[in-house]
This record gives sequence, structure tokens and C-alpha cells, in this order.
Amino acid sequence: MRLEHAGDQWPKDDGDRLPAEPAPRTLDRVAGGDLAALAEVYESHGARAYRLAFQITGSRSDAQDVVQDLFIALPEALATFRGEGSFGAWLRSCAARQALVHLRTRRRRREIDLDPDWLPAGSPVPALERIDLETALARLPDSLRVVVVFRDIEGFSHDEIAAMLGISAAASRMRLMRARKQLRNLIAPPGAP
Amino acid sequence: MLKTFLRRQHPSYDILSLLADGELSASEAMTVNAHLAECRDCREEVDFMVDLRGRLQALTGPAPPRSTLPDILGARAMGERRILDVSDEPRHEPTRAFWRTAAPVAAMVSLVAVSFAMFAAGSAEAGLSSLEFDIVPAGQPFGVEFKTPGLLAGSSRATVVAETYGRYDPHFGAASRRVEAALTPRGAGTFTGSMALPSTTTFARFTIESPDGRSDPAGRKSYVARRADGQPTFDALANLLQYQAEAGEVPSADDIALLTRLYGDNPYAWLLRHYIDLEFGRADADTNAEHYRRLAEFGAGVDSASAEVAGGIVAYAMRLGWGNPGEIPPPVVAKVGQAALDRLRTVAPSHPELVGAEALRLLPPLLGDPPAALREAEDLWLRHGQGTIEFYQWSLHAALLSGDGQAIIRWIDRWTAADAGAIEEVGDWLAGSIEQIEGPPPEPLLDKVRWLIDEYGRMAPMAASPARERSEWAGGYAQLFDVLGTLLERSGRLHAAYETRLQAVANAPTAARYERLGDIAIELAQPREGVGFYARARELWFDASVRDRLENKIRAQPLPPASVEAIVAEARAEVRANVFSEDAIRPSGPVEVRSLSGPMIEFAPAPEGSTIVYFFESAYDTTGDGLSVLAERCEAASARGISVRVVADRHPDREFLQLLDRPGCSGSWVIDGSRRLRRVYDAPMLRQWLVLDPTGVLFYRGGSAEEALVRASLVSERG
Repeated sequence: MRLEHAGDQWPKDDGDRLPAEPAPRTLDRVAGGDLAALAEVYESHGARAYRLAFQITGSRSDAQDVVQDLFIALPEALATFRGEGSFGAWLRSCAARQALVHLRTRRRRREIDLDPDWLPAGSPVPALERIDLETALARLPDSLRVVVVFRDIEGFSHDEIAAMLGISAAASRMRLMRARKQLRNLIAPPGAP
Repeated sequence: MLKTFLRRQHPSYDILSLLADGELSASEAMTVNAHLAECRDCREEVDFMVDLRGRLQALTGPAPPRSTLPDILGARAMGERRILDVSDEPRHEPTRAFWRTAAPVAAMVSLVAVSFAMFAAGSAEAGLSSLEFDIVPAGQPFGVEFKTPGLLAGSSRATVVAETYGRYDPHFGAASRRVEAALTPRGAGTFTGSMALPSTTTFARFTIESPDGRSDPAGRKSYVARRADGQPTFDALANLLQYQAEAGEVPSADDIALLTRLYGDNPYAWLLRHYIDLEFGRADADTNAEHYRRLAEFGAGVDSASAEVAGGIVAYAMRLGWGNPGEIPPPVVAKVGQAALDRLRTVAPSHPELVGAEALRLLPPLLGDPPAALREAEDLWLRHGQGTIEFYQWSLHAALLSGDGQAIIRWIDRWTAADAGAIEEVGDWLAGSIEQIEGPPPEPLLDKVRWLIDEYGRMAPMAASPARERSEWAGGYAQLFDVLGTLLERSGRLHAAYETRLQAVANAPTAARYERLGDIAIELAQPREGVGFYARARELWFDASVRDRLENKIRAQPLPPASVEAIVAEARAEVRANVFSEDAIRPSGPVEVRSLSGPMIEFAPAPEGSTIVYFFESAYDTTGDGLSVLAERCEAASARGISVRVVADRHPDREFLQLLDRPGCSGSWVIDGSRRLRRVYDAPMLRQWLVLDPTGVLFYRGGSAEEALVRASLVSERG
């Protein structure tokens, strides 16, 4: 078995996941405050931004907040989009940053909430709980989940992840390794019942 | 070297991870690949990682709620603007061992017991912000200067915020205290001001915030209290490490080593390391086993102080699901719970003021055996003095989980006797857990809730009180009615339950409650005599809806209260005469109820040749399948010779246009939320919206999602 630099081989996106790039004129209209153009961009890119925000925050309501903030701010934020890369990648990067901001805000306001879900319901915790991948991803600590989403799903480089998270690239690699290890423990192997 | 190493044993997991990512050098990859060729286990690990990436990329994830786009467009149309942080600056600095940066500072201030530690990695670089402050002990005022060429440079003011921590507490989030001070501009990009930290502060983290809530990452600095010898105090170091762990900043190995060197015999220190290992996934199976063995020792040991922490750590780990929750062996939880109870027994006689807080921390492990352990905890609490508010919360919660009506009443009495103002919070807890009660609730419990309603009713704010205060009170009042309604329903008194719930809705402050009307109307549709209730429910819904739109959604252009009342009164009179009269609603034939949990309930089916108008309101399409439902309805109507017209408040995407392509189906849409809302000001226009419901109503409840309620109104257009 021989593995090359897998990162280079990853499809950055396929037709299903990568929405069409909006025309420059459409973006100009968005920047000018045209709501129909904003709706058009949302229709093509909103779902993906939402999915990314959901995967980072692990919460539907947080993801909705992130996407709303993102698109409400988009007309003004477009001034910083220099058109050097794809709009989709830039928007995803913005969504990721916004989701991180949201995540940190949420962490800071975290208190000892009394969520009955975590209470032992009178029965022992199963020794090894097998869950699906989506649930397992949501169960990772935020710090690990963010890295695995950025790297394995979004295809960001470790340097890019490091810049966004304010950690070193080595720490990003280390977190990815830990995340994979935890996912390995959490999810059922492919094809398992 | 790697090659030699690999000949003897398996490569580590991180080496395999790097290989899967193509991060190894060519020679390293060759070496590891040679090992993989001979080692099935390692090959499977790498295969898993590669496969994992594919499976992760194939995750589809949820779709955004339908209401998202209308909300965005509505907000933009209403003039709302937000600033997106698109800077490339890191959100927080790479974590450094704090003593490296702090050492020179400590040397300078060796005569004072505390000093500031700077974490300004990068702040000295050109073009970034900097935060400077004097070095003084906590409790004394000090000056702050903030320089920024960045986001806040043009701002009229800035705020320095210090999140401060005193004694180290493993329940970290609840222990912080926020202190802030306004900074005023002094020239371009410079702000100054002064502040003081609470004298008990051992650790603080500073940030700079703009008036719109953004924070400047370069403003993040820390304060760490020190001993006379310049070393950090235990509380300061532990708070620092836990803060970093909670903020997702990888704590420095040097700092962890310092904690071990200075405070290795402190059980809190070891448990904090355990916490950090859990948070950052450092604990593999072997180290976990070691952790839990030591955890069990702590729990069972005579050192009751550590039992408290152990209980907290177990609870915390279980709550957040760090790692695999199943990794915490139930016997360990039970053992810690038992030790925790011992701790409570020890603490209770000598420190009655702590008993409540102790019990709060110990309850999670205790819940492994609630009947005996909780009873004893409760007895200890009762015998040894006043508990904290949290202990009331936990105790009521535990009683609700046990479904013991008498215990619930007991704890309601105790809590409200200790704090009469707690009724609203008691209502919150009841509403959240009342479903735990199985079977008919005991009558005294219903009486107790009625008593709560009466008591709370006496606390109603004056009419002249601020609207927010009145609104919050009304929400609490409605919630209590809702609880009573649930209990009445459980006891089989449906009509009383409906009446109670109508009162709940009548008292609800916002549209948050009129969703409940959908449920109520569905329930009311079952008995014929429910039609009268239904009419009232619709009327209440109308009031709530109009008020919501007027009072809550159009905040940008507030109307005087008198105008709101006038509009509501006018519209109410209008529709009472034409829409909500029982005569108009009572069906001429038998009520047709097709399914309560499935497709729909329909009053007075529309006759052949008429047109049905469905009003599709995105906010209610919480499951996102509203259009599919409408498509089914179009087909059904078409088969009955009825035309369908759809009015939607969503963007006309492909799915919507396909719906309209169906035979006999036409439609229109309104996507400009602000224009739609402005119409509400115009009472005659209300008719246009409300006339959608002159002859009947259709409710749809998603089969699988209890929370999903797609509401659509049905109308027979005459002529």
C-alpha cells in the first residue's frame, strides 16, 4: 500500500457539494444592497454554509444564527473579497470564522446547565456505545471537531487551520490525530450492523 | 532512526495519521509503507483514516430552516447591518508557557505578591493592536491603554473586559465574574481608562470590545496572581490552565509540568491534568485506565476534599461527553458517588453553609442510586442548615425525575418558602420535566400548581411597569397554566385542560405561544363541542399574532401603545364579525377528522369547484417538508375538482415553482419581509391576510417530528 499526499488528491468539491460561482455582476448587486441578488447567492451557497456552521458548532440553532449573521453582513463584507480565489471558498472561510466566533461566545457563557440528557437514567452507561458518524462528530470536543471539519471535510490546510484557530500547524495536526482516534472509538466500522 | 524504530514495533498513531494525510516526507512515508506491507493492524488504521475522510465528506448534514432566507431579507430590508469579522488575525494567540513571558515581569515586581503575565504573542508585531496596563495587586485601580490600528480604530469608544476568577473551582464556568471599564479615545487609535479587579482575583483574562460587541484579539492579556517567590499561586495556575482548555487553547506542556512540579501533591492538580487530557483527547486506553483507577481511589479515599472534585470531574466528563462516555466505568461513578456522600456527611455538621453547594456537585454521581443517596443528601441538607438555590433546583429536578408527586410538592414548598420570588423558576422546572410524571398526577399536585398560579398572579407588574417586565411576567404566568393544563390532561379532564391552555395562550406575551394553539385546536377538534373552543383559540391566536407582528417584529418603527391597541381592537372587531363567529365556523355537516397524528384535520371540506388557498408561512415549516405536504394537498384537491392557490412568504426556488406547475395549481409569493410586515399597519390589509380563514382551517403535524407544526390556512374563495 502506498499513499501519496492525500491532501492534493482530495476533490475540493464535487458538483453536488460545490455550488456554482455567482457572476461578478451578481456580487456587485449584492454589494449594492439588491435583495434579490442576495437571495440568489443564498439559494446557491446558503445550504453549504449552514452545513459547515452546523458541523463546527454542532447545533442547528447556532448554525442558523451563523448563517443569518453571515448573509446579513455579506453586502458590506464583500468589500474585502478581492476576487483572487473562488467566492465559494471565501464565503466558507467567512462562515467558518463566524462559526468559531459563535463557538467561543457560547463556550464563554457556558454554565452548569441542567440538561437531563446527561444524567444517568438509572441504568449503567453502556461499556462501549456505537453511534453513527454524524453523532460521533457532534460528540467530539469543540477543539477537535473544528479541526476535523476544517481538514477532512473542508480541505483546509493545517496552516490555514492554524491561522484561523490561533494555534500552531503542529497542534492542528495533533488535534486531527486525536479527533480521528476518538472517532475510531465512537463509530461503528463500515458495514457493521 | 524511524526505520530502525519501526523494525521493532508499530508506528505511533500520529505517524499513521500523518501518513494518511500525506504529511510525511518521502523517505519517512517509504519506511512506514514498508511496515504497512507487513502489518495488517496498522494498515487497517490507515485505511480507516482514509475511509473516514470519505465518509465525513459524504455527510449531508441538515438543511437550513426555511425561515432563514426570509429572516435575512427581512432584516436587510429593515435596515439591519452587521459586521463580519473577516480579518486574518488569529482569534487567540498561540499558547505559551506563561512563566517564560512572565519571568521578566516577575523579576521587576519581586516585592509585590502579584504581577501581570503578558500573553501578547504577536502584539509587538507592527500593525497589530496592543493593550498595556500598570502592574498592581488585584483590588487596586490601574490604568489601561489600548492602541489599535484595526477594527476599533474609528470607534468612538471601547470597553476593556476582564473575566476574573478567584479560588480555583473545577466547575469553572460558574465561577467567573465579569468586570469592565469604558475606555475613551485619546488620539487616533488609542484608548485609555482605568479599572480595578476584585481583590480575590487570582486569574483574569482581558479582552477589548467594541460598542457592537466585537472583540479585538490582540487585547487578550492575562493576570496571574503570584506567591512571594514569584511563582504563580495554585489557584492562578489552575484557573489559567482550565481557562485555556475551555477556550480551546492547547495548554502548554511546560505550564502543566509547572503545575505538577509545584502542586503535584494537590489532588486538584492531578484532576485538572485529567480534565485537560480528556478535553484534548490525550488519554488513550491505558492512561484512561490509570486516570480512572486514581479517580476511584480519590473517590473511595479518606481525602474528602478530593472526592468532591472527583465527583465534579466525573459529572463534567459525562455531561460534555468527552471521549467515550462509556469509558467511565459505572462502578467508578458509583464509588465516587458513595465517597461523595461520605464527603457530604463530613462537611454537613461543620460547614452547613456549604451543604447545598456540596450536594449540587455530588448529585450527578449520586443519581446512580437516587432513592437512597438522594434521601440521605436531602436529610443532611435539612438537618444542617440552609442550602443554596442550586440545591433547590437539583432537588426539585431529582424529584421530577423520580415522578414522585409528594416529593415534588415538598420541594416546591421548601423552595418557595425560602424564596417567594422563585415561583417563575419553579414553573420553568415544572414545565421542563412535568412529562416525567407517568399516569394521573396526584390531586394535591394540581392544587399546588393552582396555588402557584394564584401566588404568581399576585405578583403581576403594574400596568405602568416596563413592557419587558410585563412580558416576562406574562410568560411565566402562561407557563404555569401550561403546566396545569398538562396535569389536567393527564388526569383525563380534557375540557379543563383546554380551558387552562387557552388561558395560557391568553397570557402569553409573544407568538412563541401561539404555536401551542395549533396543538390545542387539533385536540379540540375531536369532540364536536370543541368547536366553540376552537373559535376562541383562533381568536386568541389572532390577537397574539397581530400583537407579535406589531410589538415584536417591527421594532425598528415602534408604534405608540395606543395605536397598537387601536389596530388590534379594530381588527378583532372586524374578524369577530366575519371570521371567528361560531356560526361561521361550525360545520354544516359532520366534522371530518382524517387523522390526528398524520396528514390533516379538516373542517367543512371545500366543495367541488371552489378554490383552496394555502398560505405557506416559512417560520412554521420547521421540518422543511412543508412544500411536500402542499404538493400532496394539491394532488388531493385536484382529484376532488378543487383548484389550489398557494401564497408563500419564501423565495420562489425550483421546488416551489415545480409545485406551481401542477395542474390546477397556481401561486404567488412575497419575499420582501419588511413590505409584508408594513402591511400589518394597515388594518384593511389585515383582511387580506385574515380572510384566508373564513371557513375552515388545516393543520398539518409532521409524523416524525413532534416539534414540527406546519400551519396552513385554508379558504374557499367565493366567486
